[in-house]
Amino acid sequence: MLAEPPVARLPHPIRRPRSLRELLRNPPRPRPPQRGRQPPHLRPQRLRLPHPRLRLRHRGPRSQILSPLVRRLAKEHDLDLAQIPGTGTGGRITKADVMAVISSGGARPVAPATAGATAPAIAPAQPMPAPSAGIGEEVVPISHIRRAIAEHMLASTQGTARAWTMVEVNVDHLVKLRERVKAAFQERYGIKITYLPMVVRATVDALLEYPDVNARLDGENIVRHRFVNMGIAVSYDAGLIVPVVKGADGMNTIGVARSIADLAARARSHQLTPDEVQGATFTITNPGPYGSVASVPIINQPNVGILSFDAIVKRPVVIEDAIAIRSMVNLSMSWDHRVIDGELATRFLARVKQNLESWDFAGDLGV
Amino acid sequence: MATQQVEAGAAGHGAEPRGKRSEDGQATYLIAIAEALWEEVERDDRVFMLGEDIGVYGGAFKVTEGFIERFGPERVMDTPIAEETIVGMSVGAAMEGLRPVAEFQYADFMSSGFDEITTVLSRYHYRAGVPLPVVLRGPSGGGVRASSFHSINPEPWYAYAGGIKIMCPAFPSDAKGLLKSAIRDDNPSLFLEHKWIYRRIKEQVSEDPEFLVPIGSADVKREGSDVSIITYGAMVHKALEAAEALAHRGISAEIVDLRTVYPLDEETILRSIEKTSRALVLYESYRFLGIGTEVAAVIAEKAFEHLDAPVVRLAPPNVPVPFSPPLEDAFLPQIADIEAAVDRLAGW
Repeated sequence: MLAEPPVARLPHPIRRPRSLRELLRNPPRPRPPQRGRQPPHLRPQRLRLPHPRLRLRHRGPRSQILSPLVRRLAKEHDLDLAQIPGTGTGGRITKADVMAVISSGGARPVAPATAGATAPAIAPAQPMPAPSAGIGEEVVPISHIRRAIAEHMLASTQGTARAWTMVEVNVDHLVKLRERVKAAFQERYGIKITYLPMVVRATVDALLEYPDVNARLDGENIVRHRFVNMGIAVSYDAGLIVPVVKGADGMNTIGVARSIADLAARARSHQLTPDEVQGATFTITNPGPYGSVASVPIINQPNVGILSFDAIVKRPVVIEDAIAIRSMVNLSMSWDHRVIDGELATRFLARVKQNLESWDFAGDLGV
Repeated sequence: MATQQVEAGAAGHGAEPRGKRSEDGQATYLIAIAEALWEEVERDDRVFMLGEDIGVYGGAFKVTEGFIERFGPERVMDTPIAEETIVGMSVGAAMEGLRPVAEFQYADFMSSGFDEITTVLSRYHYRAGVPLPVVLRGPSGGGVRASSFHSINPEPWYAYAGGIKIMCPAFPSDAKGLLKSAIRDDNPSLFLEHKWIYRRIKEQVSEDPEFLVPIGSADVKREGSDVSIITYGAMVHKALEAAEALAHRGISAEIVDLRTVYPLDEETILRSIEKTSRALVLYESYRFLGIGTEVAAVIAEKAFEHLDAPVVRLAPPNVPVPFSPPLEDAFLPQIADIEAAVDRLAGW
């Protein structure tokens, strides 16, 4: 037989419940809060809200706070932020500060403002400080090539009204074509077939259609070229050089491919003659192989435009209300607004795009 | 149809809303909404209205005055004081192919039908494949000394439900065009009319019965270059006033009126940030998890590299809307608060 469970003992005697009438006649008095006697979870607690002024503090001077936009602009325009005086609170560099430097001609070194320093009328000649390498730094003198590039680029950004336009091109059929013919092409012509010669051909056609893009500004006149000398930006160990495919309008794709292969090889082995890097009427840069998908190139003066052919990437695109995967490329152009306008620039790019999307290069490649 | 010129709210029975425009043809926000309802009930036999006191009494704010005389009690249906029933009736009618437009005397009372709205109305299309073309409309917002039961901005609650389009127009034209779009849309929508705007704002409004404003599209109400104020509802008008004052001090503010808060028109928001690089998100729903919280998150996530300063929010605290006028003024963002916030942002 099971033992009877122990009878639970209540701490207090049970009181008879009072009737409502009694309660109303004799309402219970609220008990004062008993400090210290209640267990912690029963004690009245205040709702803790975050302090409205709670902030993460920035350690160090405010001038070192760089907004995401300022960082991006500095990177895009290759600016040395240490050289830009900030006008935001606490000396922070703002968008306006960066834009002022860009619009005045790029990474122009600006002397840091020193408080109360006014230059005397005749300043004693200051000796140029000898380059001194700090710990972890390396001093490399500027090469002639580097200096020439720097001057050319700076002159272009300061001397042109640069604008930029981009179109997207579906090059799916070109990718398939290249895959199909590349072995045979290499076999027959001894060079690799790339997309660049096709882009050159498509661009040459557009330049002949819109001669104002194939032009230069000469004082009070615009000089239109009735021929196309295509500058091709080539990077090599010393920097950047732009050899010229002369008479590109008279070549088929194989001819352009051969010319580019020859010029690029001799550029990289420092064997180009001065004549071969002069006389371009338009320029194409091709940063795609390194993976960039959009570039804002600096115009190669005296040209009025430079076309950038970036990396071909597979992307989902909408074709007749269906989503498909296609090999797409961004084709963009920096152009000089002093000579041409947005409508012309866009029509020109649209023509190049149309050529690339509609032309069948198979016959032109001879394989 | 009578077209005599009479003041809003004092119309004779049977007067169509367009007759209540001012002498020069301008319509208040309230009249624009009444016109949208009138035109849509007239255009489509499937459209009918239901709500508390919308028939004989003409609606708590007199939006539907004159409707029952013109369209009869089957198209302008007075209901019991039972919001859950109103939503339930609307859902059932929509299932049967009708297009109900339910009025709530105050948007605060929509939450009495919360379960029907959030678990039935918002999901039924997903569950059964049957669209519910239901419009729930009512006055929301504060600033009219109406205390905590008649002043709230409930849009975040219903935006969170997913599946309900939510419009909060600030101008008579937008109100008319959006309400007509909502009635013609096959999806459920919540049309929140800001009661502070009802009789305060008027403008020329299209009389074209096919005038529509697309749902989900924001509108730049003022172009500017230094800072973007992204806002909606009554705050648009405060922002416009603040922008005028800021312009005198050389700060150019761009005002983006969201118009539809769900779905958000991210493109218009981001385009503006791309231009100004600075964002003040101004909203009348609560600061914590209000509509602006999502706007700020979208900007931080998708426009990070275009920002030159932190995204700043200006919104009331998460407390009941106070009745006391000084407290309500302290609770709601005021023009001086907007100016101060823009000043801080512009100088950051």
